Amino acid sequence: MLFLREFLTVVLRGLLITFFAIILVACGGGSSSSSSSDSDQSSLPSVNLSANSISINVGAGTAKNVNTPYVSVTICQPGTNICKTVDNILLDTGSTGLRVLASTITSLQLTQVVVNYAPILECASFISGDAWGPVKLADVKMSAEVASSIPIQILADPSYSTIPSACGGSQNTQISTTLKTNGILGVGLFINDNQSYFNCVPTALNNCRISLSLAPNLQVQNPVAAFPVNNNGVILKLPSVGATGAKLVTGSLTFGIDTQTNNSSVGSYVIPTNSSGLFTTIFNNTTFNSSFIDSGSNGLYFPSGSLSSVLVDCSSFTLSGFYCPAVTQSYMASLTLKNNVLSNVSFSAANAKTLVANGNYAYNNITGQIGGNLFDWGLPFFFGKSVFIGITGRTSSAGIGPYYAYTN
Amino acid sequence: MKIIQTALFTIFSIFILALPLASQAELGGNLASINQEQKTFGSTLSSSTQTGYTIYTQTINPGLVIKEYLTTNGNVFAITWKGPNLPNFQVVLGAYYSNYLTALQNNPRAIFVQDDNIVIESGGVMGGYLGRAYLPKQFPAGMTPANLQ
Repeated sequence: MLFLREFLTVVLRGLLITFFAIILVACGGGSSSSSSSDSDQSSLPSVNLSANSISINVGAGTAKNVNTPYVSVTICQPGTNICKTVDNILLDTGSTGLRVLASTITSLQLTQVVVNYAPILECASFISGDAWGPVKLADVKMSAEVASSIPIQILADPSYSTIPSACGGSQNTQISTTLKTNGILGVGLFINDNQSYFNCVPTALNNCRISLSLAPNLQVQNPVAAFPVNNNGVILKLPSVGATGAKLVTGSLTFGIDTQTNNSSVGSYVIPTNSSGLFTTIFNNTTFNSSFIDSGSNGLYFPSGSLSSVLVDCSSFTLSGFYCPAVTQSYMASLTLKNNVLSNVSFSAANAKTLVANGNYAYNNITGQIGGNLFDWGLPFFFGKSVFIGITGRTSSAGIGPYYAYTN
Repeated sequence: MKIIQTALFTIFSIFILALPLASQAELGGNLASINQEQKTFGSTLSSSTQTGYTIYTQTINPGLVIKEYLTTNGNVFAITWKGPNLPNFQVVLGAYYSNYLTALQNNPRAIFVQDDNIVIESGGVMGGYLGRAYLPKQFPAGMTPANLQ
């Protein structure tokens, strides 16, 4: 018995250590850094750059993970000056809508969105896991722009801590447990997020199991699309970084495209997408017709295909899924523009293990594995460019959304 | 110390007990499990017979399309999904859900599992997710992953 108890203790200690290691690795992208003296950069608040622009920081922040772009968002009780500015929110062009941890806005009283006399609860899908929580109305402010009384999602809300199996249940797939940022600001190609919504009261027909058909205006909204002006898209501008990365870089998030003197799309390469936000990349003589541009991805992810003997997996616990070539590889890929014109983009694949040993947080040459016809142009694509996100159905000189565009 | 051990034992028990619950269906399942899944999701279901296999297609709010490929013996050997959101992986991957969880823990941004027995690929952006999971050894003669829609 004593033996058994000791054995169990040893096994359990091992399990718990594994569990902790997994959480460390899982924060937003998988390549946790072992850098030590970055407490001075743990908060990276945005500053206002103009009436329609705020700063973006790519640095240690709260996640202490590579290639994490942070912004600040001010959240208010609708129509009041009762507000809370939340820093360290992940800026994500790969999703739609604002999601914040309940613990960051405890000073606010926000009204829940209710349908059929029951509160609406959302299960939003991210590749990294499920986002469960209630939908509430808030004014969302950035620079001088205000989205008035729009639905946002509250994550890890203690009033809704029981997660139904329809949203991952008790399995540890909730992004709120692995996020390590205060929330996610989704400024993607869409106006509303089009995810799963539930009525969860016991008497309701669907009872947390079958998702509702919820009117688009009741769903979590892209705050930019809800601005009175400058509401047709955003521009993310980040400076170039060198081959060994940078500790901290600061860029800008500008609202509107071709609506002011500071957001012109003239001279940009315009990439129209299908209605799902996907386009075609040609790389290594292979067509990847499920390509996307995503600031919430911390690397460039693509199948290694015939390059698999060079683009080998890093095969270490904290860097599994990333490429670790023996020497840095230089590549060219083609993005499909309007009228099927191709635009060449060059990029590098460095050894991810060597890179993170530098202890930096912004890298333009981290790459990794993905499957099928997917090509994920993550944050490395953004360095040294202005990247335009054109919202569905909204018009600018670049065209009618959904589209991506970029200038070098 | 005893309290700690008891608490740890409880955690351990939950850990062990949780595993069989994940093994109810679907990849590696059969038509009965698809019908059960349809009730769970409240989905619409249609089927299309091909040479050597049948595709069962479910459409679920808010527009997620899940296709399950069955051999003539009635075994699910492949699943594809495409839509604005992701499927309930615990349900559609069945006994292979643990492979998905391992991949998620390894690299949460790009889900990629590839070995002789199971392939899982998942990616995209909110509004445009897609992926597939299949059992390479159970493909019918003449059918390849390239035939998965």
